[in-house]
Amino acid sequence: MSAVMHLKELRREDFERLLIWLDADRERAGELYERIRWRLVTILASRGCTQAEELADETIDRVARRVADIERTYVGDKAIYFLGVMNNVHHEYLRRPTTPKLLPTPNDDNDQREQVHLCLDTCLERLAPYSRQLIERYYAADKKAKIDLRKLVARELGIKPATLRLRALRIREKLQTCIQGCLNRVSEARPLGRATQASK
Amino acid sequence: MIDETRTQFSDEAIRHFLLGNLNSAEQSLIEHSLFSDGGLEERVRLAELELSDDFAADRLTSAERDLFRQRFLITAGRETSLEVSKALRKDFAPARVTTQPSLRQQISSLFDIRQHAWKYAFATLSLMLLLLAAALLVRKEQSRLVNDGPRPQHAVPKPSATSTPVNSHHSGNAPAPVHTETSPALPPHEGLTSSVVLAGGTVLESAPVISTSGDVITVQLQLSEPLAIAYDINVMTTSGESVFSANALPRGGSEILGFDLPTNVLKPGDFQVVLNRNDGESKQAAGIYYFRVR
Repeated sequence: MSAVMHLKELRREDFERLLIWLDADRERAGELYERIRWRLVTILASRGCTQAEELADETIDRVARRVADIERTYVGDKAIYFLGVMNNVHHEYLRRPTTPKLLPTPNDDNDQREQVHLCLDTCLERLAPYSRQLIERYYAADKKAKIDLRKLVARELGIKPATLRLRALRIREKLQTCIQGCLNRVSEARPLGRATQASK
Repeated sequence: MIDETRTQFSDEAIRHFLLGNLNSAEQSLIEHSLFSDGGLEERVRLAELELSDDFAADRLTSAERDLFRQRFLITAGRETSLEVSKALRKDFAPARVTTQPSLRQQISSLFDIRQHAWKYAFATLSLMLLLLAAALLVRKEQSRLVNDGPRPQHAVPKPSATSTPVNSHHSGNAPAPVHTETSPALPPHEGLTSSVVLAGGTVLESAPVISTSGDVITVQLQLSEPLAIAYDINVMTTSGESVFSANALPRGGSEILGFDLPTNVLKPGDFQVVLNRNDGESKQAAGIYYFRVR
């Protein structure tokens, strides 16, 4: 379930209180919320939990419901509080009787792949020329040639290969965010079209 | 793997963390740091993307690939990230940017036996040896025939008196016209090459003819002033159908722009490379280059 869908399920009142507790500035609170959710998912996944997103959302649910009780007395880093609740949620999950669960199958959706390509093109167009040139060259070579080419590109730019890697990955992260946004917009617009097709 | 006194995590430790491959002490340490160290959070985010790139480029070991599928690829966001890695690889790998090699690389590549140029050189040499051997055989055979004995002399026809002319069956028509078949024009020189240099302003009729042997052909465009930092190229048939394009190819330091063109997009026919200067905001036409594929 996406974070946006999850928000719809949280009680509006609890969610508003959670955001205010995280930060008085709504925009910063939203960013912090996303970062906390990402950390929870990452940790749960690294623990081998196949339902990392579900458990992260359950953790956020619980914290949101408790904010009314703790907001006046809680002292310390609020993000750490989520970690403690997540540990409880994860322990409960591990105690549940195990049910056979299919491993996720590799995504083989051609439409999705095509859409990623379209979004990539759009997002590449939005990059500054320098960023675009850098990322194109960074991804140009493959396998063994890649190391040599990246050294060469770093030398041309007058930076260390490690710095080039960081710059390229930061641009890659921007691309990822842009593509994710693009895909979300497409998927929000798409269900209607699919429903129409299915009803024919 | 982890320096606990300073809680500095190596890139390797972060990678193991993402693949769920740390022991419990290391796992606990990195989990707490992830919530308290913003720098670590960024490194883990970037390592996530790099891991997807490495999986897409087949740079992980077999064990890492298994862990990647079982423990990493379990969220929708990461699946999308992997799709982006594949798309980046697919988009940028074919249009490899030609970089100016160093002198050492040039020399070592000159003697690289795997180069197409060497292959063609060997083929040409073999062909020449074959022709030479054939010529020697013919000469030897001729000299053998000469040395085998005197040839029969042609007998000179003796003159004899002719009788009164009579009508014969020979027709009295005009002599048959001389057979004057003209040979077809020789085709233009077709060098079998995996690299071609195209000059602007060359008309189609005198454009170089290239062969589509091999996976790619390196096309080098001679640029004209004013020079730009980057160029967009579009390879089209002369009827206007685009078969290949690449954007923002950096010029490097020379007046040559090189790019690798996959030969599988080329069919026998005439092609044009439409070149545009790409200065970020604006794009300007920079010339059209023609070539032919046999």
